[in-house]
Amino acid sequence: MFIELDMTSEKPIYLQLKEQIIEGIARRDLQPGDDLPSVRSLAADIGVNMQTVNKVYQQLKQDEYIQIHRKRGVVIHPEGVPEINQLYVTELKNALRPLLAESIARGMTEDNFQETINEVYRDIFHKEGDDK
Amino acid sequence: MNTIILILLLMFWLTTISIIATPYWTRKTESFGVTIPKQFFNSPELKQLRKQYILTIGIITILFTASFLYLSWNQNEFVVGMLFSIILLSFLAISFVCYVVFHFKMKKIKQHAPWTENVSQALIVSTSFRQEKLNYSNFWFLISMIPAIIMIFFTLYNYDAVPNEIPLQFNFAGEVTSSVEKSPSSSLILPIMQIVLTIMFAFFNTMISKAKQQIDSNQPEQSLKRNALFRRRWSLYLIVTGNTISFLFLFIQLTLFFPIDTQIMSFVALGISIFLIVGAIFLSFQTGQGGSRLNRETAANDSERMNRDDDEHWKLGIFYFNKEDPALFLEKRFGVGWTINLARPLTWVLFLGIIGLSLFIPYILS
Repeated sequence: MFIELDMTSEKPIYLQLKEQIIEGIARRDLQPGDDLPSVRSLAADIGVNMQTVNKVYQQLKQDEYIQIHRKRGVVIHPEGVPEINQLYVTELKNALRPLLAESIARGMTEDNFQETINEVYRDIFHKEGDDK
Repeated sequence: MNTIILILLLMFWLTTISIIATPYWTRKTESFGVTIPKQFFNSPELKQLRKQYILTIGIITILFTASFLYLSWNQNEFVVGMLFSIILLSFLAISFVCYVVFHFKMKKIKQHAPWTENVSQALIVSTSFRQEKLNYSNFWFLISMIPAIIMIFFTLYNYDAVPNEIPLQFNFAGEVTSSVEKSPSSSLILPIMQIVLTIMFAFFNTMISKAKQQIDSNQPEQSLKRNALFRRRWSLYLIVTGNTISFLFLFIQLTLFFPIDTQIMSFVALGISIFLIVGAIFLSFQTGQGGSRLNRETAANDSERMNRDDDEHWKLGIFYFNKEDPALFLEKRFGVGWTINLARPLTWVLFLGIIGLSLFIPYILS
């Protein structure tokens, strides 16, 4: 899978990297059991401090997206990502709430918001094989 | 005698070809060591700049050729050899100065151009890059390594047959110009050098697979394939070169035991080196830096996006110094091949170690 980072963006590299890996998993470009590069190798390819990549991997490990083995290296969690549970839904709602409130404040209707979500949802899948 | 001058001149011209062609071998995202948006590589301004560069180096080449011919014609071999070294070294120094001048010209052009306004810098990394086949196995070096080891045993076994003086250097006439006294260690200089050299080549071959992945953000898929092919080709070149040089050493060692015309040997050595240089030039023209000359299609360019601009880490556009970057090896920006991250002390140790090893082995053993 191609990870795409915008070096001019305000968003920190580590966050972009984390989001890109999760998108890859969502799109199933990265399948359970797939290898990810080692911390050193990925940091060298991007040209950033190893801490940056390490931070991403530790967070992804925490959320059970990946496993870090001493010998096998870094792999996408073989048992897949943990399923949605009540706790996750609550977190998601909490995260969405301020965004939605902002949109409502700016005059967005429920339909508009729905449409926007659909668009983003489709866009995540659309990126596959996008060779530009 | 004058044939040698012409052969040396040929070597000199091969060097100048590679220096003149360098701006055309680089990736289209770089110009004289400066990051540019790809679509400007063929702008009239940059085309003009490259032409100026060719003209400058061309004139210098003609001047150097003329002075070399004038000074060395009908001179003895020693003088010719000295002159050639001086001419070659000063040519390299002057062409470096030329490069620096053009680098600053290029920098100035970039400063005044509106290229980088509203352009985002994309960096693409493939998570499966290291799973591609990036080089050929180091086992291929065994082709000459095993004979070298056999040669060590053969030499020690037939130690009595080794002549009292062991030649180290020959001139073009095949006469010995430098030699050392026979001893068990000095009789093994060549096979041991051969093994060290092979290890060095194996190290460079490994470096090819480890070097930083550099993918063009405008065509990641093709760029990745091209880059893998680029690495494999140079890996193959290293294997061929390493084994060829190694066999040449083996052959020279054999002259200790068997009567072989050393003049033929000198010309074989010269022929091989010309063949290898021509091979490298051919490969550079075919493949380009990073594979940039492979199936060049003028794909639609994204004008709102360019590759990451890391000019600040490239001193004079060619010396990479980035403390944050854990990468040890990465592609050169002006030229074909790889360079080191000078901010990593390990790269200094590795390279000084390699150079030191190859320089001092003959002294230690003799």
